[in-house]
Amino acid sequence: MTDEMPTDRPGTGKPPASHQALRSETLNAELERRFEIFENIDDDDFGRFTGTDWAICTVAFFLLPIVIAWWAL
Amino acid sequence: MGEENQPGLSADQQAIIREETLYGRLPLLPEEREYGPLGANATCFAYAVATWCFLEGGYMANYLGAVDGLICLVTGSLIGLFLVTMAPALAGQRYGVEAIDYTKTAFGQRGSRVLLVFYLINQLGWTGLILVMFGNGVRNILIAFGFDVGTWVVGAGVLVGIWLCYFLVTRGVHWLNISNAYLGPGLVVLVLMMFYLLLDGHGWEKIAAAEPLDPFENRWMNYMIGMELSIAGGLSWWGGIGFLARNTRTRRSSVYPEIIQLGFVMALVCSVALFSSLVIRTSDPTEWMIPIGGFAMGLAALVFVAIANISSSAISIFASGLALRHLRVLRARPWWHLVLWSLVPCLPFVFWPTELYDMGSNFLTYNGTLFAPVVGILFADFVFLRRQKLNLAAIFDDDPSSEYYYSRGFHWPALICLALGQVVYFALLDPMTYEAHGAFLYLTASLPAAVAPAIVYLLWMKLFPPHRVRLEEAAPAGGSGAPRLAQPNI
Repeated sequence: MTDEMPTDRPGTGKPPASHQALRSETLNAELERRFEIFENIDDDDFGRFTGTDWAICTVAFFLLPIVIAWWAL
Repeated sequence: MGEENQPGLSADQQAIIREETLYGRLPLLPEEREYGPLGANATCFAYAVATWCFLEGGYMANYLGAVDGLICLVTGSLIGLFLVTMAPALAGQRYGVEAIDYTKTAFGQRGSRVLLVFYLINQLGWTGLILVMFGNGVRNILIAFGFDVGTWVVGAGVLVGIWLCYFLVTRGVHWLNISNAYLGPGLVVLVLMMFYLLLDGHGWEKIAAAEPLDPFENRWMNYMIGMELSIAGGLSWWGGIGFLARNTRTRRSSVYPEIIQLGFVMALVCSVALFSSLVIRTSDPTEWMIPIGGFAMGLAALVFVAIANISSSAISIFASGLALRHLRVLRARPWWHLVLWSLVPCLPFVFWPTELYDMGSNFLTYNGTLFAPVVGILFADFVFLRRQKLNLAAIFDDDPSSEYYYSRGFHWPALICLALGQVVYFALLDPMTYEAHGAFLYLTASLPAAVAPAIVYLLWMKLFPPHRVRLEEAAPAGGSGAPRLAQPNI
């Protein structure tokens, strides 16, 4: 998170209207570009999270802790 | 960064895109993400071992002994992390969006601002508590040197802490990077050393036999309060989960490290604070460091933790400042305005530090009230209703025809279920007084407050599915035709 610290400093005034217009225009175009990229990426490129993963997580991190907590009570 | 060398863009445009990728809301492309499996584990570990662990362990010592407390910390944290991780992590990872943007899918463009308020309460509450811990640390350092100082020093310390946070967060990444590079590993060493000294000086038998500090008469009630605190502690990671997952490259990296490091490892670190509090008989971490470590070592630990507190607070303020960018009125304001707005709610901690600090465990439980219904609804929405598929473009579109605009920007079924979850929570447990319904002893409050609204929301959506206003064919998929954003909100 700390790598993402903004660098603007105190005293920086409100950006001029022309800069805001450029910002909006640039970001809107960039968003469109990214939507297109996301649509064309194969789902598996984001890594798989299978039914086995769901089962492991549900059992190990939810059901088992509940059982242990009840057992210890 | 993949976007840095885009042809046809000016240097200003490149800079705008870069800033919004790093510090803003642009969906992160896979090649822009920082964390593989190792990186995700390391980052989550660094988050897990932080000064808030000392607070949570101390709260637990009020109600439970070492063994019960350890069990509650580990099991409750895992349950909380499971609930808070699965949907936001898988959604954030797949679509590269941050936490508040993701909630628009279930709560609507404007409805998500309710979540923004919850998030800010969470961040700023923790910041205030940690700053009081900083003030307490300053006071105890002065006392250790023989100065007879009153409690006003704590408030003054909070004020100094607020100024230091402002200084750090507005001066940019460099200072905080330097401090964090040393503080994270330093805290690990500190915790291990404290644990060794604790075992060496007092022995496990004495730790295990130590009675809780301020328990209720009913052991069962104490145990369930401990479970509730731990689950709520896990749920209060909600905002952080979204940030971390968005930066991971694979789905598994977005889930397992979060649950294991933020749930299991953090619980172990909290347990060191629990054991220390039980043995020294105080839940305030700044009071047990000198008795356990001796004068020199304890003092060094106090100074170190005081510095770490400022770093932790600065990170929370940074996150809050970023979150404020979701508000249109603040979107174009300079960064220092956002930081200032984030710090203003911490001012009450200057004037009533002790009173607010003593309500810390209530605040922790209150996180359960806030986030249990949220995670339940998001889980039902993302996993069961949407089958893990989102409309990315609609997240960034404020046009009334957009899929997530719903009714004037609000998705009332989700918001009503959110309120229902809070009613369920309060019916089972009052987080301020800990007055509880009998069912709380069997169910906790967070679990029903997550499950009940999730079921109602699911049924509501099955019976009355939201009207999808804009037709799919109106927005060409993957083509170079008309833009998909009618009214962009970035």
